[in-house]
Amino acid sequence: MSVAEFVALLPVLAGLGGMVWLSSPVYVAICFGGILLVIAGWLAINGAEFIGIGLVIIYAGAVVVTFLFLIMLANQTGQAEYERAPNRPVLAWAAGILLFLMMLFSTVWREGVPGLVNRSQMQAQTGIEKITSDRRHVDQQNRAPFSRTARLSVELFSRFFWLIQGSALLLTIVMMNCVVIARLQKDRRGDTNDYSSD
Amino acid sequence: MTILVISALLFCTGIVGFCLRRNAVLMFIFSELMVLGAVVASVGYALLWAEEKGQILGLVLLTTAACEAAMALLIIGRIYRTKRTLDIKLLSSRGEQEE
Repeated sequence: MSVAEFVALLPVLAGLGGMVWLSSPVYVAICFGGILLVIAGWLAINGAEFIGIGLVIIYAGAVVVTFLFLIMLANQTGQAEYERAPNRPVLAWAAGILLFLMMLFSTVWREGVPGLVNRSQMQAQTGIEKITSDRRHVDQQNRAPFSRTARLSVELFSRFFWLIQGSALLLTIVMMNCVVIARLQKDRRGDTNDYSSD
Repeated sequence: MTILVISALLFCTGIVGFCLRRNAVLMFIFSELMVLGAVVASVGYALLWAEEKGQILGLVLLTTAACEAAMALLIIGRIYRTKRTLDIKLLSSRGEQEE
């Protein structure tokens, strides 16, 4: 890990710490938004511009704003007892730390462990060569700035066309579902008013 | 490799926060953090192996997360309007009493 990468990691660590330790839901949502922006910038710098912009638009622009809207609607100040008291802290931290160590072991530290298929063996079996940082740098210099995004768009509208159409259909179904549920609530409130007037 | 460490950190912090909190909205924010960790991992592998498929998987995950967020926030809002609380323990104990 280079110094620049470590410096870029610091805001993420600070945001994650804020999310865990702050009790106010508004601050937690703002920390989540900050983490999203840092991750989006990180992805854009490393050559995944499309996903980075998608993160900003979908997550930070839509999901986090909806979170904040719901928090304001429910008047969540972080002062209630259930917002401040932790729920099963020992179990939560033990599960989180154990899972993090397992993930590190399976992705970063597994090189050289006997009995496990490591990355070099996987490269030999699959024939896929890992892109080193030097080669990636040369590739980025040789190509146009958005060539990776252009290749992604070609893949999206050729090999994965039906996958994208399926995702669009899923979004449409969810939108219709939300409208139906919202109208159900409205109709029930209308029924209640009618009965009370009787 | 840094991006994979970040994704592991995001996912595990999501697990810790999800288990620590009793507020339904906050629990849902932490579950979104877990989804973000999965997105970052898939994009990280895509960058590491110079494959576009990981980015496409990340895009589909983003779409699914948006759908999930819309539905879950609607349901949480509805629960708050009827029960006037977002305390998961209180909601579950009320649910057991009603059963």
